[in-house]
Amino acid sequence: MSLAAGQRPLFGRLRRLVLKELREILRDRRTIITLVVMPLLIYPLLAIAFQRFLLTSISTEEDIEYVIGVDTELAGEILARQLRAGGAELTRRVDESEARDETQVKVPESTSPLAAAQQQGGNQEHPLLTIVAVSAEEAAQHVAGSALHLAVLQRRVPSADPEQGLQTPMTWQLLYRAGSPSSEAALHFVEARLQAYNEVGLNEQLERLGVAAAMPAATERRPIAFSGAPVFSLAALIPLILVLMTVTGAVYPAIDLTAGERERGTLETLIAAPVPRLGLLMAKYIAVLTVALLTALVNLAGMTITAHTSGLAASLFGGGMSLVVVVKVLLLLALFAAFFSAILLALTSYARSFKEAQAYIIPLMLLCLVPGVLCLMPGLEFTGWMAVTPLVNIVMLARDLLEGSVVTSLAVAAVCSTIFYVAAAIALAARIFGTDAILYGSPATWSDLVRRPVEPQPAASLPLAMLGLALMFSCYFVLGTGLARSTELPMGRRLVVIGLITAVVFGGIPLLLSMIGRVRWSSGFGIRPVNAATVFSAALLGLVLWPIAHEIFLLSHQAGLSVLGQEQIRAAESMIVAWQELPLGLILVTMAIVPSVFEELSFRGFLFSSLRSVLAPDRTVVVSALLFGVFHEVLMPGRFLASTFLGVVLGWVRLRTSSVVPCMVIHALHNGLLLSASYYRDELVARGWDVEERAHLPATWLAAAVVCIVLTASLLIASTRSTKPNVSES
Amino acid sequence: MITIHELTKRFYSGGCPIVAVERLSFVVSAGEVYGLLGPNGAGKTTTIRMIVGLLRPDHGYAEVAGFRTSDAPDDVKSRVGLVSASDGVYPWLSVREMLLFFADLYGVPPRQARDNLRQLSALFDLTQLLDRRCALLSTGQKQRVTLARALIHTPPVMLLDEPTRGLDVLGSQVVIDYVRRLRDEGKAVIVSTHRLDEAERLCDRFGLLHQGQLRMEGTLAELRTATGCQTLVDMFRSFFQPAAASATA
Repeated sequence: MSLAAGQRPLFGRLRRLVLKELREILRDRRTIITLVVMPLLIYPLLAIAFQRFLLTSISTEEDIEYVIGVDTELAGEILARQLRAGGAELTRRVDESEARDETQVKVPESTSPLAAAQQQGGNQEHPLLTIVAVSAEEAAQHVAGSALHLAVLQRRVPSADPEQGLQTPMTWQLLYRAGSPSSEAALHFVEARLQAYNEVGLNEQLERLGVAAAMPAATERRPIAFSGAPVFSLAALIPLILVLMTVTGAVYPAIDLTAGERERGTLETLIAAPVPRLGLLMAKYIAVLTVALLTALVNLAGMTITAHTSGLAASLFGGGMSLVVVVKVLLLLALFAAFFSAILLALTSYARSFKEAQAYIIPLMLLCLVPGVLCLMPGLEFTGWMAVTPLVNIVMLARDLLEGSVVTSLAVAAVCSTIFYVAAAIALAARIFGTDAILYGSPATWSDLVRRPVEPQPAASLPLAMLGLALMFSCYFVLGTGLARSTELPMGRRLVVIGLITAVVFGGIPLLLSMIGRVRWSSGFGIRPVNAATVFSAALLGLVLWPIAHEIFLLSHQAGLSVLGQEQIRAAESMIVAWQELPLGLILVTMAIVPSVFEELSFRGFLFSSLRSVLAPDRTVVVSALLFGVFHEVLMPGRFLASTFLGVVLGWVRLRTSSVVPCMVIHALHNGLLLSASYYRDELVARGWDVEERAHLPATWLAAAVVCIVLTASLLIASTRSTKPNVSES
Repeated sequence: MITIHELTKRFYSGGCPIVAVERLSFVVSAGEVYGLLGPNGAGKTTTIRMIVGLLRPDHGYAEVAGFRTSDAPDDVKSRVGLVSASDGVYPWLSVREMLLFFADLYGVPPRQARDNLRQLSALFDLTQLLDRRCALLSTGQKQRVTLARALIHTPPVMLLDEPTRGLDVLGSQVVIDYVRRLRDEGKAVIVSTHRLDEAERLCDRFGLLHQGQLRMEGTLAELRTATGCQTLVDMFRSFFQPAAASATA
């Protein structure tokens, strides 16, 4: 008899599972074609198309060749002279303007297409202007057939002498292809020069008549330097390219490793093996992510080489593709790939065949293009709700990061919420993958996934818990940032609103989800009575944790792990001053009691029980503590390590007592003690109990705190000795 | 070794319940080959899937080596080798990679997995094929790989669901020899098959299923005595097509 599957090292097995999935995927020629051949072909082709676009619309390159048809040789000569004269006038005006504005900030040429056109017009002898004679009857046909950019036909017969002809009023008819960028560019080229030529001619005539010429509505251009992002930046295209890169890389492996298993007939044997489905799905996720990243990296390399060799890098990235830009793009690639790999796996896990999977994925891919196009909208601001909206958040983050205008709190929120969505998608995929509906095609629909279980469940399923986590994070972030913006709200009401938001988000969402999942309250939330000795020892523990939490906060700040700006410190100071105007009871209820009750219900109750159903006890404590830390870091920057420490202690207590009640007591007393100390800060200082917020505590205090924590923890262990520690949660 | 007690499973189609298996109970001992026989839709495959934990029963339980599928699914799975007619192979893995992958899934230590691989490849004549990609194997070769895969973790219980479907005479003979070897090794084996002639030669006891219910159970001799029929084919006809049986009698 072999070893039970669960006895093998977890990571070693995961590694081997991933290797098998990668072997399956990377040996398939179709993957290699998507991975290597497509980027090698696509990017040079895209570059050629893009260059043509730039050349015909906004480029200032000098190698544009306009082919202009005229109806006679003589007309061609007259037109060439008029264009030269007009071009010379434009050059003179540009030189004058530059001399006048030489102290002003120089604007990049590409931001002003008209200025570029004027500069272009400055060439007296445009090297690539070709004038050819064609018959008037065929001119329109040549223009329509793209043999000519433009046809210039004379409508009044000039004198036979070209010199005379210049003095004779001419009427030209300009034939061009409406809607063709190159033809319209040639039209503007000719019109600008002829207009300049006309103006010079009129001025000369007025001078001869002795009339002072004055324009009735003259205009003058004055370019203003813009420090932020340009109204439309080509960098805004990059998120759309990232979406396409990562989606295309993840689609095939996601289908092959899920729906493909069923089509090959290997799904049943895989599910019949003693391996948790979450483990199987994690291996598949890592394999899909790896292939998506590889595809994206090959794409990126192809794009970089093409951008440099074609000279497009400067247009796309301003100062060229520096190492910093490459690193930013790589990090964004990882984020996009992580997101799409999880979403695609969840979707394809439900498919019973390649065909069905493709039917699910095509609408998703079209939907994914929407945020990519959205971020091209000029002036669109990255706001709080966008930071927690799936895909929109990372697309906007990518745009702002590449334009150098990213807001840190929004970036952190975007990354954290994306990680939560990824976790929810993987958990959902693990629930769907290999169910009898997929294995044997039993009649089932998507509604089966949200159908309430018939029997009460001991804990929320992992997909439900991850969904709850993502919803709690998104709602709390959006409501929190919304409240922060409403500065006119008095502090008292603000505290009440904070308390209500905390109750609704951390109480309402888990409660709603637990009702949907028919979760038993006693086990699913850990709402179990405990004896008085446990409550007493928990209360003592809650009172002695603060020195260590305080020290961890300071150490993380000094180590640069938390970046608290002067503005944030000032805001915290002014908030404490404002609190001192309010009754302490209000502060304690809204900032200590309400958070301790509802945060404990969600973190040590709802999430903890669900995590415990799939993880070992120590891992459950660590993961729930990290989630607790991340939530507090996003909402109160700098609190990650201190909150994680508190989360570890609370998780251990939850594990030991099987109840959230002692956790609530510890949390409430810890918060309450710190809030009270801040409230009575002046009185404490007056009595010589001055604990500066940014100063280390004496070593004796810390040693005493450690001793007290050990003693109170021992008391707690002793108080729960008669009850069985929480091992199975069920 | 295998205990099935009151096992029941219903499927729903358009809200209407369809009984797949109804209060099915039987026992299979170590070293015994049990033939689960019945027409299409009798509930044979559903029963096997419930034993290995791929389907959850609505009522009753399946127990393997003292472990109930509902309580300890991984303990049951690690003690069962499953062979199904629809079993596939990983086309881009070699035979060696695939067999070692499944050994790893079942928690077989690497050295023991290599020993098992050597023995099984000799047993099923796979030695020359070990480094060939599975996609390049013939149907018979794939079937031999599948049989080896089910034994790579040396399970005490084997479940074979239509193991000879789609195989020619030579391929079927490999399976028949395989089942005999399993019995000789003391494994508890359940075989579900349509091939009644093969079943007669292979199985020690039989369970005749019809519409999810166990209509009759016993050795071939017991069944002959009870039905008055000499062959399983005649028994089937008398059970499931009484009109046709009486017409030809």
